[in-house]
Amino acid sequence: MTQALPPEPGAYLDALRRALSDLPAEERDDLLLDVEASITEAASDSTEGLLARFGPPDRFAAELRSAAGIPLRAAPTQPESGALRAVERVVSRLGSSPIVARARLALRELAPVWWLVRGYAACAVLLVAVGGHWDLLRPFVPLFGSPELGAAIVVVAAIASVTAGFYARHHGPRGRRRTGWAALNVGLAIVAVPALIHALKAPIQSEQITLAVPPRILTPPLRVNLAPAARRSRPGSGTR
Amino acid sequence: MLRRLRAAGLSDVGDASVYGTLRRLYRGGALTTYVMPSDEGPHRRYYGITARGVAVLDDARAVWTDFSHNLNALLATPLEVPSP
Repeated sequence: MTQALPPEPGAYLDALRRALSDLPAEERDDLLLDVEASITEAASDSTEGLLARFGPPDRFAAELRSAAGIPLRAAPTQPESGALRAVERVVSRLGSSPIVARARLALRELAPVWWLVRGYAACAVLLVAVGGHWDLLRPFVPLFGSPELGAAIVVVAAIASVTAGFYARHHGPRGRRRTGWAALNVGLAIVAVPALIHALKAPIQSEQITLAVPPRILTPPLRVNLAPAARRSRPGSGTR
Repeated sequence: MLRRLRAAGLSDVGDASVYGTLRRLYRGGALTTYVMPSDEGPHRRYYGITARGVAVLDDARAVWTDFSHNLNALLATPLEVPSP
């Protein structure tokens, strides 16, 4: 309700503070310190109203900004992360559009699906880290020692990922931890693409196994663990 | 400062412009400030000019003098209206 005429210095200052609400609190208070003195003084020893003297708060705030060299609706006080802030600004501007808001709501509903995929992607990363490989007969099962243990790890990872998803939704990480969390999500989303492509491949029939096609899903190329049927055949001997 | 501006005939310069400009000059290192706490009413901030500020002022004064001199000279030259 900035249209309501603020007759009191307190109300006028509040309106200014609102108009500058996108600035960091420190910067804003600093900017308003002089103004506060001037407005309080004007209110006490002047018969003309604050509006007549200073004009509407919104316009006053805009003038203050432009004279101070602060871009409209932006907070340029952290130059070390200027690019990041620019991205944030674009994202926040996009976020205010109704279509994006609806899409976000839909994505929020679908988030648990992503959490499951994320758990799976984490397994893929772990598999590569320990130098393991995928089950050839069931390409979606990572072999951590045995297929049974691999399947168990996938289930545990999925549960952990979903739990983490719900936890982050209710007690969202803040500040730098939030950036780290987002980076982790992006990383796993990138890993998830080849992992899912691999997992959704048709299982290889033992008759088809030759040594020529190692299932590469990630670089560096994995060593191929051949199914028991193939293991007995010697390299280069082809299908039995 | 506002009174001086008004007295000099620059009545269109608003409070916000003055405070914003002071802020910008301060950030640019042209001014120093200190805050004087006050028992009654809000705290007051006082500004002082730095050596850098003096240099900026001299520079700006030279640019303005040069510019206004040239423009005055240009405007003082009567227009040559081509005769039809």
